[in-house]
Parts: sequence; C-alpha cells; structure tokens
Amino acid sequence: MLKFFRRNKAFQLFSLITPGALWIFLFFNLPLLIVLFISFVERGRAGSIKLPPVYTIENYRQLFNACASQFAGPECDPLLYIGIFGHSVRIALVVTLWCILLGYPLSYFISRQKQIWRDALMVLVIIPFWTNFLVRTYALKQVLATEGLLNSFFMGLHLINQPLDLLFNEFAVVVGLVYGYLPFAILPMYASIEKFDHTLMEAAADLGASPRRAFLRVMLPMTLPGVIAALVLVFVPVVGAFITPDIMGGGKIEMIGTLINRQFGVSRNWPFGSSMSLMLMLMVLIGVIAYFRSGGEETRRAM
Amino acid sequence: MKKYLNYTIIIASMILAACGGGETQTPAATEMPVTELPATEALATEAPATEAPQATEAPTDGETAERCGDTSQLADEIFLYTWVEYIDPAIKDQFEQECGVKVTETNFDSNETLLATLQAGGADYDIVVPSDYMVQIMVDEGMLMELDYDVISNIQNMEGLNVNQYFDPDQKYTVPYFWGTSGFAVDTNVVTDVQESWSMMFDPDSPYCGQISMLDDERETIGAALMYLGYSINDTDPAHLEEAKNLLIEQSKCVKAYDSQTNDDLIISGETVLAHMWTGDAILAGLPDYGGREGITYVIPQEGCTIWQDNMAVPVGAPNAYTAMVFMNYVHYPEIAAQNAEFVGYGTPNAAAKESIDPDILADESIYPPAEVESRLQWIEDVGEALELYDRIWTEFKAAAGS
Amino acid sequence: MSPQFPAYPRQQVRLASRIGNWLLGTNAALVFGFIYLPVLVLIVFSFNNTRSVALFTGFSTEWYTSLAQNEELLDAARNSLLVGLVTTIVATVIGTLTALAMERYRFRLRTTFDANLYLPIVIPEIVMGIALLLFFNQALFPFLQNTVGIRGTTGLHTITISHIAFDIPFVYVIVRARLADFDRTLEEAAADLGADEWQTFQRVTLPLLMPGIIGGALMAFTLSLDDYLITAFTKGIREQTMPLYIYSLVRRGVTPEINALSTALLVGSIGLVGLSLTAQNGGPLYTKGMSIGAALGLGLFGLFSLPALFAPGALTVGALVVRLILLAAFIWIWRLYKSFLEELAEVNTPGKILAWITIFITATAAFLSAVLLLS
Repeated sequence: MLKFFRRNKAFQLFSLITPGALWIFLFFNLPLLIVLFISFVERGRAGSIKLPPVYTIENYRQLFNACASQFAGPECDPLLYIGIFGHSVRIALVVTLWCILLGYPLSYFISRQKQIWRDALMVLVIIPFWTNFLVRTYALKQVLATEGLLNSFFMGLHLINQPLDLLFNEFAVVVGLVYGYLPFAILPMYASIEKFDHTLMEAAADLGASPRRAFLRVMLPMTLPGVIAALVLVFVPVVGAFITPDIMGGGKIEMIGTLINRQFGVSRNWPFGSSMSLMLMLMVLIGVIAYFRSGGEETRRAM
Repeated sequence: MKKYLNYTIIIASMILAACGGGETQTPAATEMPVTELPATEALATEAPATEAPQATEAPTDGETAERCGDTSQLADEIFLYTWVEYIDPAIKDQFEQECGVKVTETNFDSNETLLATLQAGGADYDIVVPSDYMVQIMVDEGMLMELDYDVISNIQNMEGLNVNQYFDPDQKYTVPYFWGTSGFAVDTNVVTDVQESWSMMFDPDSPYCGQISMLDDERETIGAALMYLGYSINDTDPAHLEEAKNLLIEQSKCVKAYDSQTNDDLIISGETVLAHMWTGDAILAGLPDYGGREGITYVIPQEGCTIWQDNMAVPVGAPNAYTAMVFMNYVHYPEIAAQNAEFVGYGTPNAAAKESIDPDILADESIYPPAEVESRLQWIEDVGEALELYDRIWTEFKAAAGS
Repeated sequence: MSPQFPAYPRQQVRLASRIGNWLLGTNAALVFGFIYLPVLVLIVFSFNNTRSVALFTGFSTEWYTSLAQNEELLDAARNSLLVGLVTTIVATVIGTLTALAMERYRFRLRTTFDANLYLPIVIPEIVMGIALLLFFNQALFPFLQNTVGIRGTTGLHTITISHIAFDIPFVYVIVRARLADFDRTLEEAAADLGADEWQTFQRVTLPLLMPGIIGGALMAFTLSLDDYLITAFTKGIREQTMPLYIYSLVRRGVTPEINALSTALLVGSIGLVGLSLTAQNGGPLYTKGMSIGAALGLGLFGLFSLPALFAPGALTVGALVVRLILLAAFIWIWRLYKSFLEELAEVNTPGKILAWITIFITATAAFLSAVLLLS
C-alpha cells in the first residue's frame, strides 16, 4: 500500500488535492451557485427573492447602465455603479501600494534578525490584530481625530497651529485600510523573503552590480512570488471592504463593498447585490489572474 | 410554507444539476424542508407534544407560580434572538429560578439579518424582537404566529401609543418591548439659539457648518430631509425624493460625518454640536455619569420625527411557543418591566411599570415625550417596491457627497 | 572573477548598506509604531471610568469587573477561541496540502482550479454568508434529512465549516508563495542519501515550508477570530461568537468592556508567545517548566471546581468530562516533574530560580484563563 502510494503520482495528487477541492466545492462553489441563481431573478418585496422566481437580466443591465431602471431620476448618471467600482479599485490600489511599500522593507528587516527575534517580531506584527476589529478601528479614529493623539502631538510641538483634518475623508479611509490589511501583506512577503539567500547580494556586488541593481535584478525577482501573494491578499479584499470606509470616511466615501452590504441590509435587494458581487468577483479575478500569470512568467524567466 | 418548498426544489435541483445530473436522487426527495415543523398551529395554547411536562422547582406560593402560567406545559429551555444587551440578565436568571425555564439568547445586529435568518428556516427561535416596519413585513410574509393574549395578559399594561399601530393594527402578533424616537442632539454650551426645527440641521448658512453629524441610514436620513421639506417620511413620489436628495447633497458640505455608531462620541468630544441621533444615544450623551457631557439636549423637531418600537414576537414554527408567551408575559409584570427598563435605558411601553421607575427618568422628555409631541411622531413604514428608489437616491447622494 | 565584471567598489557597498540598514530600522520602528499606537489607545480606554470609548474621563477597572461578570460575552469569547483554533488547524493542513498539489503536479483544469481557489478571497463576506445560510438550510439539511435521516442544525460546527472554507485559500496563497521556486535539489539530495519520500517530506520539505505554514496559520486564526458577517448567518440558536456580540452592540454603543476583553486577549497572547519563545530559547528545562505550569494551573482549576459540580441540579456530563480532563492534567505533571527535577540539578542558581518562575507564571496564567473561559 505504502509502496503504491510512493510510486503512483496520480494517487499522490489525488490524496493531496481532494480535501481542499472537496471542501471548496461543497462549502463554496455550491453556495455560490445559489448566488448566481439569485442574481438572475427579481427581488421579493420582503427581501430575498420573488417566489415563484421571475427570471430577469435587469440586475446586470442596471449595473452597467444605472439609467435603465424605472426608478432612474431625471439627471441620472448611467455610470453610477461603475464609477463607484472604479473609485473602489483606485482606493484599493493605493492601499496595496502602501502595504507593500511599508511591508516589504519590514519583512526584509525581520528576516535579517536572529531566529528568536524573527519569530518574536512576526508574532508582534500579528498580535494586535487579535483584538476586535471594531474597537481597533475606533482606537485608530482616536489617533486621527481633531483633538486626537497625532494632532495634539503636532500642536504640542508647534509644528502646526490648526488641527489637521485627518478624519472623515479619503485619506482616513486609506490609513484605516492600510492598518487593517498590513499583516496580509507582511505574512506572505516575509515567508518569501525569509528564504532568500543574502550571500547572493554579495555575489552580485562582486560581479559589479550596484546595490540598487542587485536589488532589482536579484532580490526582487526572487521574492516576487511573495510580493504577488501580498498584492492579491490585500488588493482583493480591500476592493470589497465596507466597515472601514464607513467608519473612517464618516459615511462619505462610498465603496462597492458598502453598496453591496446595503443591498443585503436596509435596501433588501438580494438580486442586485448578488449581481454586483458576481461582477466584482469576475473583474477582480480576471485582473488578478492576468497579473499573476505575467508575474509568474517573469519570475521564471528571472531564474 | 409553500414558498420554502419552492425555494428548496429550485436550489436542490440546481445543485443536482451542477453535480452533473449523475445522481439518482430526484429533487422531490428534498420536498420536506426542515422548517416544516409540527408546531404550525396558530394558537399554541397546547404545548407541542415534544415538550415533556417538567417538574420545576418553582415556588408554590400562589403569586409567583401564577407568573409561570401552566407549569405543566413549560419547556426546559427557550431560544431568544434579540438585540445585544437588550434584556437584564438578572431577569433571565430569575425566570429560570422561578419557572424552571432556561432562556438562551443570541444576538443580531439588524432587522434584515433577523429576516434573512428566519426566511432561510432551520433556526428554531422561540422569541424574536423585530422593529416596527419589520413586523409589518414578517406579518405579510406569514412568518409570525398569532399570539394568545390570555397567556400574555400583561398586554393590558401597555400605553395606548404603543399598541394597535400600523404594523399590527389588531395587536395579534406582537408585544411591545421598547420604543424611542430619532430627532437630533444639540450641544447647548455652543448652540444658544436652539429651535425645535430641522432647519437647524439643514440651513445652508448655518453658523455650525462643519460641526454637524447625520445618521448613516438610508431611511432615517432621507426621512429627515423629507420631513424638513414638509413631506411624509414614507413619501414615494420620485420628485419629492429628488428634492430631498438635492437638499442632502447641499447639506453635505456642512456635515462632518454620516455616522450612526459613534455620533454620540463626536458630540461629547465637541467635534460636532448638532447630531441627528436615536434617543438612547442622545440621552446618554447628556449624562456625565455615563460618559456624557452636561448641556447636551435632545430635540424633537416641529416638522416631525421618527418613532420606532421593538416588539417581541413568536415565529411560525417555534418549538416552544407556549413557554415563549409565558416569558413574554413575565417580562411585562410591572416590577420586572421597570427593572428591565432601567437596565436597557430606553422607554418602556408598559404604563403599569412606570410607577416603579425612577421619577427623574420618567420626567425626561427625551425618553417619554409629552403628549402634545406625540402627534409629530412618524413611523417608518415599509415602502415596498419604492425601496429601490430610496436606495437609488441614497447611492446618488453618497456618490455626490464623496466627490 | 572574470575581468569584464569588475566588483562594485567595496566602500560604496558598505556605505549603501549602512544607509540601507538605517532606513530599514526606521521603517520598522515607524510601522510598529503605526500598528501599536491604536492598540495603546485601545488599552488606555479599557481603564476609562465612564462608558465612553472616545473621551477619557478617569481611571477605573470597573470594565474588567463587569467583563468578568458578563457571562454572555465570555461565552462568546470562548466560542470564538474554540472555532478559531479548530479552523486554524484544519484550514492550515488542507491549505498546505492543496498548495503542494498545485505546485508539484500538472493536471487538467489546473488553472481553473487555481482561479477557483482565489474566489473565496474575492467574494464579499456578506454574500458568502447569505449563500451559506441558504445552502445549509435549504439544500444541505433537507438533503441530509431525506438521504440519511439526520436533521441538521446550525451551530458552532457550521460556523467552523464556513470559516475553514474561506481560510483555505488564504493559507494556500501564502504557502504557495513560499513553495514557488522551491529548491528541489535539496529534496533530490535527500533522496540520493537514501531517504524515502515521506522522510524527505518530513525532514526537508516541511521544515523549509514552515515559515509559510506558520504565516498561513496566523492569518487563518486572525481571520476566523474577527469574522462577523459569515458567522452571523451560519450560527445556530444556542451559541454565538465574540464579534457577533460586539457588532450587535453597535446600535447600543460599544463600551470599554470590549476594550477590556481585547486587552485581556492581547496580554494573554503576548504572554503566551513570550513565554514559549523564552522557553524555546532557554532549552528543554523551560519548555518542561511551562508544560508543568500549564498542567498545574488547569489541574488546580479542575480540582477546585469539582465540588461545585456536584451541587444538586448542577451536574452535566459535558462539564464533568471537561473537569476530569483538567484533573488528568494535574496528575500528568508527576511524570514531567521527575524529569524536570533531573535537569534542574544541572543548572546554576539563577537558572533554577528562572525555571521556578516560569512554572509559577504559566500556572497562574493557565488557572486564570481557565477561570475566565470555563466557569
């Protein structure tokens, strides 16, 4: 039996992949089919869907042309929802960029410490995120508030005379999201950088590469899988984020996640929320796969 | 129940189709959803057969035993699905001691979560606590059981304002639990010329521009604008809503934040001086002992103001309906209702309980508004199809306010 | 070294690396400051003397007292930890296996499967929550009812199943990043030295993968501990988790009690991690000391709570089993204790004191957490 396992590649693959494939199929793909179904029917008056189901593609049509609805006002903007989606993508890109810019050097810094410190620092990165998200975000608000920590600090140092408006705007949303998703960037990048062999940098220098060149041509390509993983893990959830934009943006920054959540909440329009989610998933997935593939290719070529 | 059946067949057949259709299981095999429970009788005066008579340790003296109803019909445990910290835990303990019934509580954060959970079926709660408009929806959907007011005799204790309202005109399905309003809070240390009018919030030339917060709630916030404009809070005329939207967009440059969660903190810390708010938050914001600040008062505007009410109800299919009703009656005995009201801090609909409530609290007009104000109060009703219009208006307004 | 590649000037390399190190250090300090500043604020407000989490009015520990009495919140916290731990273990194992399969083998539909694994990261939580709610109650449970006659209900198990489903992809992505461009020659070398595949995996592959696996596990735990929306729709009528309690509190206003709970969890986890790191660094003596301490604390708790269990009407099988297990922990330390004493004889006096302190601290911590979480 054991011998069979060792010899038979197909059997190995089967036993490795079955648990994950089965779990995801059963508890993700099947429920997702329900969402797909809901996105093609009419909304029920009470919520959920109209029964018996009335099939329609209105939910998708409205998404791309907001004026297609019977409820469109006189000055309706056909790109209402697309615009919000674009705005969310823009915010997510900025957040991802910051997470990587802050997280990459930190991961590198940690990877160069002694083993014991490495472990300790990694755990210290993640532990604050075991406190509840809501109180953590409220606390961040206290840091940025008009009479919050930062403003008091800067005023105390006489660096500014007037408190800065740090809260309830797009800046605050970005800060809040970077704060919330930084560990999502650090964990994969650290896992990747930790195995990088630093003597390669010396070798590159010996071969005449400037530090910058050595970084760009040796270290970055070799740790790129980690960076791409970070990009995926930050960008993707941030596009759909909804609590942080509400709290930090003072309800003024509408993101696609806020919109979707409302469809399943007070607006009770599951079909529209479902179609919006599926389009979001589709678009983000296409983008990520495209990027991931080109990135993956580059990595292989760099080797 | 029929519709659950439909739903199940659709979904089950989809799943089977997705499996490649190779399965021999026919969709009909799933015809009986689990929500179909024996307890479909509208009036559960008879305990369901599953409930074994229980020897309780209830005291035998007449008065307290009476509070437990017919003890031979009581279940061991009932399941309460409610807002968090919305019942004094001591009352649950007391009920368990007195009547031998354990009350197990879990919480939801919104009426819509409650609705979705009940619609999906499978979760057999005995008591749920929906707000007014959600009662209307649930009754329309046939999700609530008709109650037996012989068991819940304490319904007589209710104030006239709190019973026979639009969502349950014949008072057949619900027992009022707590109620309140949403007007706005004013920091009178800064704002000296307080007027009882929404114009304080919507005046484009307000001296307090930039120090205003509004609720972040589609119906409440659009509703406030509608009331200021002189329309009903449940108006569905597109032109009126368009007007409300433009008013909100104009106002947005003066609004510091749309916030339903920490709006009380904002006014307490002085970042705002005018805050659209639910009563509960506004009351605490004015009480220094509770982290509030002296001088923050609550205003119910002339043009109108929303009134809300949470109600206890028994979902259709509840396994322990009789015990649930006994408990609903129990919490409305005057002393218990008073104790609960002091714990929760909202206004109790129980008139008889008011004798046992601290007179200072009773005198607080923000919790128990004077009679002449009652005519200004408006219920947020379900607007049906037009909810899509509200969502549209709200999204357009948010998109405009953020840019 | 070939002449057409003159080495980069040493001095400049050294200068650059010094500047680089300084910048790295500054960045690290700033990032840690950024991460911990709000946490400090959070801790400060847990000691507020009013119910505000925005205005500090004075020092008090009343919120810790009220937390200790808030059965519902503590129950919820205990459920959260339980769900989090089970989820982390299962999701980490499955995610790692999947990553190995995807990286090592070529098969049909591989790209499709890969894309499919990213979907749970993309899907808005509320959508997955609603989908699972309908799936469990309208499809799976009726199906089970009709095929095997089991009446399914939602509860902690459905929460855990759902958490695992959305955690697998996160673990997968992190482990796979670690696996990418993995140096296969090491495994080949092991095979050349006569190791079989299992030995190679155990001794070579797994240790090299560890940082990725640990990263994935930390992520899985963090996500599970904080998840609110999916939990809200997959919970049953009996139990709920900490985030559910806290988010439901939003309408009434969050009180410093939540800060107190967060602080307690924070201090507890930092303490545990600190101790285990110290122990690892200090060698087997401290590791043993810690185990003894933990067992001692739990055992004492079991011992103290046994009489109360036999009070009339309070006896439940589940609670009894838990207590008996804790008591077994107490008995188990005798074995450990003997080997601990042997090793203790070989270290100097400060070492001895440190070892005893380790035992004392762990025992207190274990006892207190048992009191908080189990009683």
